[in-house]
Amino acid sequence: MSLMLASAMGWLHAADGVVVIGHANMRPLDKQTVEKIYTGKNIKVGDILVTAVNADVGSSLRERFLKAIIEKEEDSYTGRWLVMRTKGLGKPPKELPNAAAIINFVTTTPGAIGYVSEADLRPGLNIVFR
Amino acid sequence: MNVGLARLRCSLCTLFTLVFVLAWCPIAWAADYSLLGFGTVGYAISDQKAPYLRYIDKQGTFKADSLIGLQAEVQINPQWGATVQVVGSAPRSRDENLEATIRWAFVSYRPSNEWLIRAGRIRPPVLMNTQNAEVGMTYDAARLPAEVYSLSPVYDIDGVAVTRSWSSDSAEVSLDGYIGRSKIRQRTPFQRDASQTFVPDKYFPEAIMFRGLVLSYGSSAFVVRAGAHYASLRPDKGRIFVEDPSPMDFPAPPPFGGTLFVPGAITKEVNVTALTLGGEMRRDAWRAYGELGRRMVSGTNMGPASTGAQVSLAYEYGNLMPYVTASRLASASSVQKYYKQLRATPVPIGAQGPPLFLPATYHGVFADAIYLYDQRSIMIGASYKFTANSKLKVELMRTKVGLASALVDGDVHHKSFNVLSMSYNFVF
Repeated sequence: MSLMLASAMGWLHAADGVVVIGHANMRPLDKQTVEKIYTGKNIKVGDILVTAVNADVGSSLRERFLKAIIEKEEDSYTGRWLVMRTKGLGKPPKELPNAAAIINFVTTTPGAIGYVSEADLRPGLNIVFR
Repeated sequence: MNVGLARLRCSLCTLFTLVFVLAWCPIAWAADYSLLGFGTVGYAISDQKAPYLRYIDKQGTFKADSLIGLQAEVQINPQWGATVQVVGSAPRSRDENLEATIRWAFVSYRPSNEWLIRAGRIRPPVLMNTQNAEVGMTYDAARLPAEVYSLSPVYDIDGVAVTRSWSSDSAEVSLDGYIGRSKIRQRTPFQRDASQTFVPDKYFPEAIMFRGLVLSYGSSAFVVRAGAHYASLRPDKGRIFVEDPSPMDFPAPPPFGGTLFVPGAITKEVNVTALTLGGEMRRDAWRAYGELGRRMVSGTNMGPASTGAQVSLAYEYGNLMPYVTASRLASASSVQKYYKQLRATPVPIGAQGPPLFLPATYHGVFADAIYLYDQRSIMIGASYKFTANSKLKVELMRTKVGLASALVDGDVHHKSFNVLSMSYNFVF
């Protein structure tokens, strides 16, 4: 269903080979909403509380995601979260070591979103942005 | 050290109690925990004997800028969280030894994307770097200019803060409101007459009620923040405030007679209004930064009514960020006038004898007790980022004191001095 919706809304290609996946209860998201979730500005999509997870610092997947979706380099992204943490304004999304861990977390946690490479997609995953 | 150890024991007891409660709470088992450590190893030395900012003198010191901190965060779910921050540093209520205190301990609740509520020990966003002032990694200045950041002796309050945000694709506006209280010990200015007894406290205990509103606008290229803050100060621990000494005729023929300044009646509280304005612009590798803090004090000319400002220009050259900053802090003209009046008025000889037996330094003691500021500084420095977690900073500052400065512990007037500062800043 979500794949059909994605096609209908005319998203043309995966953001640098990175696909954002969500728990089954998550609806499709636009790029701005994904950016706001990963920078701490949004914790809710509609009535759903969102829990985002990141890939490990230094991984190529994370680097591609930050460039394509958040439009920041790693330094700038972690620097922003450092300032937010030291101001008591929240903490960055949890980091998981690999695609399998991200997929497991997202599929078992209501409201969760994460990102994987195109190559790690499996049938049944809810793609919320590509 | 005994007082510091007692406070550390109290802080650790609170922390362990919190951890114990969480350990038995099922909701806590599902929470996400994280720990952030940060620190600065900073050395500063000046070419002046009289200490600046309590510790910086010809002997050099690690105490002025060094600290170590630990911040624990619990995210129970995307809406509920808690944060505790403990910092070990030079003490804020005395000069000797060190202390470790809980700077923050609050619960946060986000009912929606737009609202954030925090309750407990919090630090409102008074100035641009107030909330992250202890984390040297988060800014490039070797030391946040005292001309602006001495606006308040402490910024941590026990209370509530509410933030409302409006977010678009390219920018965010937020409005913060806060109310809370704090008990502090306000450091009194340097007394030239070490034997005087009229101003006995080096640190004067006060209970303060704070409230304020701060409006911020931020985009990738531009940040601006404006705030209005109100503080009601009452003396604590049995101390009293008295109205400013006023000039009275001491009727006697010269040189026995003249003008004698006599303290006024007891007063319950002093009110301070502070207006703050700050902004940062980024264009390519350039950063321009400015801040202003204005304090208006009602009911006394001996308080810290003043205006402080800084402007800074920096250039990002890879991992290197050189900068130049100019800053100024000046007491309100009424405070400066009152100071000069006290200094210029000799204590009548008749008052120095029976029955008053006032010392010849009597008027000078009150003049020294005024929170007088008249200084300007220029800083040239640079930060070098080794990694995302560590940064080295070096700064040379030249400060010129005019009439006097309550930030200098000495009889320093119309004089310049230099301060060299170096620090290694890290997070882990």
